Amino acid sequence: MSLLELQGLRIAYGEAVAVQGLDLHLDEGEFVSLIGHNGVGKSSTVKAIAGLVKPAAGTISFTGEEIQGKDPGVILRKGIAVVPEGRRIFTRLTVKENLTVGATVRKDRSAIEASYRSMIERFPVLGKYSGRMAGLLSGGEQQQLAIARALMSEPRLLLLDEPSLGLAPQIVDQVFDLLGELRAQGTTIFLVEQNAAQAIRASDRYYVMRTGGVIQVEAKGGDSADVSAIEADYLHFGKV
Amino acid sequence: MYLQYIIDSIGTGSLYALMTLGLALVFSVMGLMNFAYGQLVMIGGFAMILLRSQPWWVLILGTVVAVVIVSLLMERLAFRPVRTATAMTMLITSFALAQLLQQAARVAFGANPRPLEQFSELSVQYTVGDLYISRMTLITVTTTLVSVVVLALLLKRTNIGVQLRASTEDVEMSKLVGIRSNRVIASAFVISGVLAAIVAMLFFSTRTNVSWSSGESIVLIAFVGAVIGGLGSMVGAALGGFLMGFTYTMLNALLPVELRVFADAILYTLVIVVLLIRPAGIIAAKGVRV
Repeated sequence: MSLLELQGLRIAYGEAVAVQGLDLHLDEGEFVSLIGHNGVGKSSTVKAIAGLVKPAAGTISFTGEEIQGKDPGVILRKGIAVVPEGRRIFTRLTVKENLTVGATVRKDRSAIEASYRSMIERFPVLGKYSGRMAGLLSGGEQQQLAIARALMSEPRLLLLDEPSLGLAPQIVDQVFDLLGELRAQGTTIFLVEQNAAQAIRASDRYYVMRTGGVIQVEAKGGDSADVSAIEADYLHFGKV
Repeated sequence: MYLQYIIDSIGTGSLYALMTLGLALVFSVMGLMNFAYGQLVMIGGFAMILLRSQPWWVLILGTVVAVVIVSLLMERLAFRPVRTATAMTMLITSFALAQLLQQAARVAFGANPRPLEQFSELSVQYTVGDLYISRMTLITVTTTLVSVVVLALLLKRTNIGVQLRASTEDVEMSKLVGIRSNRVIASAFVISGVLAAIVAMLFFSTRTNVSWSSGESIVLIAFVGAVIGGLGSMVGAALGGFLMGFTYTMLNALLPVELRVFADAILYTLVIVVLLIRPAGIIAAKGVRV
């Protein structure tokens, strides 16, 4: 049984169809990417999985249970944490408050404190600025905080929406290095990205999405993947 | 003499700051300008009349409990069903609710103002040099300071406070981290209710009666205070409310007797000037739609 499975997913905003007939699956421990140009419905897919958008049709199953249309809090409690597009850290909360608010669904205070300690060990910059307003962090630091905040809920699946968007290339490399580390530590990752080359290299598998939301490719990722050929196809799709 | 005016104005300013905070808190959390907030204060006034013969602590506790219950009912029955509706729908709901509560009070307590027996122990005056400070002014300023500090600690140090602040900044993201919006919004209404009850006790302690229409002027002051302070900002709200009360009392003290009838007109002209210079208020919060 897959950890996450989307079948025939259709998302529409009134008359406008954002996603049509999307099928994909993700197993425990995998790093899977969904790549595609801006506007093909990737973010709508993330929102539907996270519970922010109710699909018009199709199913979203997590550990075999259908979760489509459920509240974001319910979905998070089942184990899906989201790192949203644009990071959306709470700028008027301190770094530490952002992290503790990420653990809202957990009850055990001492365990939350232990998670906080391990989080600032993994992300030293967050420990350094723990008392600082999060809005004062740089873009890369904010992305680390957004990922750390999601990890504070101890999710079974980490769902990332365009984590490289708006970041300098060097910082993007750092973010992908971090995702690689998380993958190596056993975190299951579903990454939605425009940055095809890096997403493909980082992933075990990837899907390409084109306008209308149709999945065109499901292929093996990793360092050996022929990124240039895929990019050529991928760019071709973009021109359709 | 001027120092005396300033002391009196600080008293009024403090009361107005408290009025504004209760309104601004709910606005910050759910974008609702709750025009029925003044009716909470009015209900607090009637609760005081009903509990006037009881020991002081029963009066205080009873007034707070009564207002908080009405505030929570307001949230549950009137505002929760329209939470995802447009800001205009919520605004009209709040106007309708304000009318409903006013008319209900009119039916229950009559059209004429109901007398409230004075609290003689509050009218004591202290003399410091040439200055007179009433016990009521001291109580008002102290209560405001304590309320503001407690509110700040609540927002800063408790889980629900952090969740409230997160929700005021980004409701959707706060849902994604598992914050239960129903609980957070209900908490905001509880705090708003407590503040309204405190305002009622401070406000009506210096009045001789309570009327079904008593809430109207209070909500107007709170609304204007919140707008000039900066909607969505708690500090701005407290500051805006304080400046309203302070300026109003100073105008009444400093204007020649024949011009005092224009104190309101001058005050609201100043409000317009402030908004022309700073349309988003003195301390504008980010991303607030008015």
